Amino acid sequence: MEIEIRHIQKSFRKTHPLKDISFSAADGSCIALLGKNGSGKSTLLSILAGVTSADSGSFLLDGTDLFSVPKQLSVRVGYIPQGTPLLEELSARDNLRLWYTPDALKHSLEDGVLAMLGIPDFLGVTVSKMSGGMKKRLSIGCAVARDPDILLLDEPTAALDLPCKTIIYDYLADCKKRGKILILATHDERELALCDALYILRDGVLNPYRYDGDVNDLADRL
Amino acid sequence: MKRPYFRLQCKRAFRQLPLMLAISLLLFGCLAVVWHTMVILDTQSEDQQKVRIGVVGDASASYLGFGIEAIQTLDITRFSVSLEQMTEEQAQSLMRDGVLAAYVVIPEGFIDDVVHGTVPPLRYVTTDGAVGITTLFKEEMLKTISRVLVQSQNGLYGMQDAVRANGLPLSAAVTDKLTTNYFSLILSRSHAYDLQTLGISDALSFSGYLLCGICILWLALGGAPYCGVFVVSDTALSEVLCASGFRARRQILSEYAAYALCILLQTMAAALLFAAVNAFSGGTLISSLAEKAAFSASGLFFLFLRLIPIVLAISAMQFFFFSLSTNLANGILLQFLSAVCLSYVSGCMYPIEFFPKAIQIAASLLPTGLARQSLCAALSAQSDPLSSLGLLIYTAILLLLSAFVRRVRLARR
Repeated sequence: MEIEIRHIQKSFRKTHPLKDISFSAADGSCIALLGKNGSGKSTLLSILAGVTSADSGSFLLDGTDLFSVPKQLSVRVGYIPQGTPLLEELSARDNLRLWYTPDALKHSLEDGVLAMLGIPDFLGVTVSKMSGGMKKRLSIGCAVARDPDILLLDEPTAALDLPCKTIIYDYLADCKKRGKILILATHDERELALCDALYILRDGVLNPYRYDGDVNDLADRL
Repeated sequence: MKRPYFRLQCKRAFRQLPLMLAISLLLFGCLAVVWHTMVILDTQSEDQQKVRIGVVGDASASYLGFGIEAIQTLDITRFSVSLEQMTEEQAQSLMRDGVLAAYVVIPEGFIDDVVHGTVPPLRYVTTDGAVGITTLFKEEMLKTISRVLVQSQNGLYGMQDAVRANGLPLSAAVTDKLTTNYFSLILSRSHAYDLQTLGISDALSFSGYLLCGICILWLALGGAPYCGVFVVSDTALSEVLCASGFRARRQILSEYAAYALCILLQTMAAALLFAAVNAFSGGTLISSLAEKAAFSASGLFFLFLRLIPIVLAISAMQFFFFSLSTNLANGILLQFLSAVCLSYVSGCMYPIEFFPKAIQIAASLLPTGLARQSLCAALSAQSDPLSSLGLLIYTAILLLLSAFVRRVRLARR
């Protein structure tokens, strides 16, 4: 499996966040997108997820442009945005019922991705009463219900404590091992360590970057 | 995806339903008290609007008595007139005190002069401040008196001619008898018709009209308590739903359906409560027969059916305002202000006939205006398919607009 993003452009009335975005990734790889706040990382991820449309460009999966086959896009791509994509007044179980069939939910809670994320521990808790880590794990659990091949994550461990981050890092590492393609918008060092390729989004263009642990140099590049 | 999302939205909304129901029924109760008070005040103010006119003159003359009765009987203006006989000194004193609006002085021998062909002028005395309806009334009264006098004279002279033509003696006693009989004939003719008042609008009584207006206001205000549930400040879930193929329009339909269901249940609860209170009070809350029928056990079913397009349109309007709001505070403000302003312009707080024509036309095009019209028609047992159709069209348009706003918000994320 291979993806290729070709010449994606997006502009709004007053801004032009994406001028020419192109990169590729093979299965089992993890791509990091870095950039200052407001550089267009979230915009790029939402375009790739099919939430918004690009002005031009293509998103190829094994040669098929997913932008022209929205149904395939929705099945093959999983998206975890910033924020909480959950119904706050309902419990974890109710939120999962939106994405899983009863059988799939049961299986996943016992032996699948939901068990790996530790969701059975807080299944009956109302989302509004959950910690940030619990919400993020539940969000990931909801997004991967269809077992997508490509995962788009927008700062998945932002503002989480270390134990929660560890659970998510382990899950992401497991996804890589299972041949999934991960695209992360991140500022987290440990997430950077997980990634095979880093790109800095600056002035609407993606530039590859080789991270050697020098945070100051990285900050200058941003 | 569609059914689970709709079910979960219902679950969210219904969790709040007991509290919302309590709030909305409390609000309904307060507005019903306001309605009842306004109806009572209106009835009392009608009594206070009786114009009291003093009549100064020779009260012993039977013709004077007939004349006064003629004016009282022939008066078809909204405000009833009270003619009271008194001396001129009494009339002046009462007018200075503001008890009388004016007094009429009928000169001595007035009727005799009229009978013999001369019409001495009546003196009408009023104050500078007594303008408006009393001025109009004065003119109407004088016209009425003139008409009565002229026609009576014609009749009397005709009868006198008939008596002479038949060779009968024409004495004063005969003339008096003829005149008295003639006046009796005229006065009895005034009872040949039955005046019916149709009310403010659409054959509805004033209290019925006000009830419709207050119900629409109550419905329009019902969106504010649900802002916490339906105002979307974090679009993350909408984004993920979009990414999984559950696009903005389907999201909006599912959320709206859950919301509309809640509002429909609340509305029916309020209607049942009102019908129950009306029944327990012996039907005294509703005055007109047609309106009573609407709240009877059999009438309630048809009233509920007529309420459906009204509830759908108003809740679609509220849902559109939810989609425009980005946080709780501006959501509540928008709901409240729009409810009050639209209801006022639509004639929910004041009879629409009292507004300028341009406002009346605009009101008939607003969803709240159409809703009020439709509810007025339902309450007066009239069919109004155009209003119902208009409301359904509005529902569709507002939902499309809500979906459009959701798409724009997601695109700008």
